[in-house]
Parts: sequence; structure tokens; C-alpha cells
Amino acid sequence: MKKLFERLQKHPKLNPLTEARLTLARLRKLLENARVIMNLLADGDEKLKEEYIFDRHYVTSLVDQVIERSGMLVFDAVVLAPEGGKTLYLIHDELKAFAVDQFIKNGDETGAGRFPLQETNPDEPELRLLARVLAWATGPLPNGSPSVMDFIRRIFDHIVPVLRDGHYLKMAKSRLELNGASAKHEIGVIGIESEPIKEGLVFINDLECRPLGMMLIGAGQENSENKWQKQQPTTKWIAFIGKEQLSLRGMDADNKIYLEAAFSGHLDSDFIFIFIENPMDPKTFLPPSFHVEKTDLGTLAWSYDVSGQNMENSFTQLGAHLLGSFCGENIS
Amino acid sequence: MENKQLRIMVIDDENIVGKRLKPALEKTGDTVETFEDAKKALERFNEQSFDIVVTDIRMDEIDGIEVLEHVLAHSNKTKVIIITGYATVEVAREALAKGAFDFIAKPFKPNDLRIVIEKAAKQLRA
Repeated sequence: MKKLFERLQKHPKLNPLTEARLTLARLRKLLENARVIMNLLADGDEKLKEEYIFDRHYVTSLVDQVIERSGMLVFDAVVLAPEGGKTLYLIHDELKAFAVDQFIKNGDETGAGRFPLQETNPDEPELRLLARVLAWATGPLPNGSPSVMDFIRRIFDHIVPVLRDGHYLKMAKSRLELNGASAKHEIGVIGIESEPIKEGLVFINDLECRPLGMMLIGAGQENSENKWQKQQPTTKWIAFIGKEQLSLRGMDADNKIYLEAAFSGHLDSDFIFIFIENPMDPKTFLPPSFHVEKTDLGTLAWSYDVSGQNMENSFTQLGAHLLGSFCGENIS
Repeated sequence: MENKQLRIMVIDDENIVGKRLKPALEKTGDTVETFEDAKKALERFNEQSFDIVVTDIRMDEIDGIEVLEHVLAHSNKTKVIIITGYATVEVAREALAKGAFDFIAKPFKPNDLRIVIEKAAKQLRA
């Protein structure tokens, strides 16, 4: 029995690429759960503003789903970065306890005294309940209780060390170089799908990645008139690519940008998530349609405006700003 | 039935539904009576005919299926539209099988219901 237990405890050593793929898959799971929460809250906001007819069950169901997904978020975050996971679980417990007390157990009126609405106070109890749920989502809450957004900000700050992990640079066997007017970009490329990528220096056409392709179109447009100069600083990036997926991470101390995106054309699965570490100012390059939340470690930004043209515009705009300082590829 | 104003009954034990639907549906000139108590609604139905009955499916004493059965037993012209919540889609199917004209799922906008009512009105006029 003891031997069996010891054998079970010994994890087989994964090769680094498999490990990277598993980490990325977990990160995607986390983003998906975050996205579901944001969508639920956006749906609630729409129901409140656009005079929908709904009952209490809609509101309590919304709260239940947010709590359930929040629990999944904690799990994903702790799998990615185990250290400090206990704190996240405690925050989640607090978030859940507040919601159960205010919205599920005590319904509308009992909790209202302890959680007053400052700005709006609709007539109908269902509307009041939903308005309070949305206030719980955005905060700030009385007695310092965590809001849903506080919780999500903590989750992203927790996983930043995973995003900034630079050891993947050594793993990348393919390299895309973009030489521009004021900067040179070197992108280490790692494929996350089964089809192998050509090793060594690669061209854009060697890579099948729709989001990266759109970003490079934007980058090219931005600098088509720039005159290439020698002696530019090099910005290092790592890109995990799939046909419809991109995970692009800045690896320099002054370029801590982490972008996760999917662009398949299926509205349910497309998104762009970006985390920008302090002290970078995201206002200089984020498209205006992005929702932005400040965290302790940086800025979280995302876009679910996923109609094809809007996604293309966002990618090209991001490409122009982040990778824009080049006028050609593979020029050395 | 051309251009005839409709007489519509709305039954939902959640106050918000009648409160929001009545002014929205009356905009087009139809007559709307709202009830939170299904028992009182059926008593009213026995004394006054209605073209359309819109009823929630999940209510405490008398549920939407009972309302549907009562209405269809007493009037072969009245169209019954069922309002369903998240957890009642299966029951909505049962309601359709039992003769409900259509169902609409919460949350919905008053205009969504108006579209269903117009379809029902077309059948009434035919």
C-alpha cells in the first residue's frame, strides 16, 4: 500500500512543451470562466437598463452562476500558481457568504438596510434586487467586503508570475524578426497544436495564426512609410500560436504586456484579454472598445466586441501599437 | 375580428410582470387586466371572456397548466400564452402539448410578448 501511494505521488516528468501546453490550456479555462462571469454581469446590466421583464429567479440564478464560476476561477488560478492559493479561497468564501446573505437567504428587503443603493432605487423589488447584485459586482461594498471585480482583479494579480515566466524563450525553436523604424521585435514562436512549425528564422507566411496575422497587418500598415534604420533596441516577445489562438507575452522589463486571444469567427469563443503590468500606460495602445480594470499589479483589459470587423480592427490596432515599429520582416 | 381590440388577461404572481406589461400592452389600444392571484383570475375569466390569456407557469396555488386547462375547457377561442422561467422549459413543452398557443421565456421585453400576441391575434381573425 505504501509503495502504491509513493508511486501515485511521483508525477511523471512532462516534457517542457507538454507542460507549456497544459499551462496554456488551464489559462484558457481561467479566461473562459472570467468571461462567463463578465457576460453574466453584462446580461444583468442589460436587463436592468432595457426594461426587461424578469423574476427573482433570474436574479438569484445569476448570483448562483457567478458564485459557481468564481469557484472555478479560484481552482484554475491555484492550479496555475499554487502559492498563496489559500488567500484566494478565503476571498471567494467571503464573496460567496456576502452574496448568499444579501441576495439568496435574505432576499430583497432584509438585506437592503445593510447594503443600501446610493444612486438608483427602482420601485419593483426584483429591479432593486438586480441593482444591488450589480452593485455587488462592481463595488465598493460596505465593511470592505470584496466585490466580484475585486475578486477578479486578485485572481489576475495572482497569476501574473505565470504570465511573466521567461523560461519559455529558451524553448522556442522558431523565431520571427520584425525590424522597424524605431524598434526591432524578436518573437520566439511556440506552436500549441500538433502541426510542427519550421525551426529557426521564420516568415509571417510560415505561421498559421489568424490573430497574429491580423496584428502583423496592423503593424505593417502603421510603419509602411517609416524608413528603416540600423541600431535599434530589440523588444523580445514569446508567442504561443494555434490556427485561431494567440498568447503573446512581452519579455522585457519595460514591456510587460500579456495578450491572450482567440479569433475563430465563432462569436461564443472569440475574445481578447490583455494584462499590462505597472507602470506601463495602456491608454496609449488599447482600442477604445476595451473594458479596463486597474489591479494592484497592472491593468486588466478585455474585449468581447467580437463581431468579425471589430475583432479585426482591434487586432490591427493592437498590432500597430505593440509591434508597429517595423517596416519589414527578417531584415538584419 | 379585423381591427378589433383584444381583451388580454395577464396572470403572474410576481408583481413586476403585470405592472410592466399592462401599460406596454395597452399602448396599442388593447384592454389588459392583470392578476397576481390565479384563482381570482379564473373567477374573472368565468364572468368575462378574453381573447388572450398570458400566464406564468410556476405559481403557488394554481399553476399555469391548471390555468391553461381551465381556460381551454371554457373557451375554444381563447389563446393561452405561457410565461416560463429558467427552470420550467420542460413544463412549457407540456403546456404546448396541452394546447397552449406559444410560450415566452423570462427575461423578455414587452415587445417580445407583443409579437407573440400579434401572431395569436392573426389566428383569432382567421
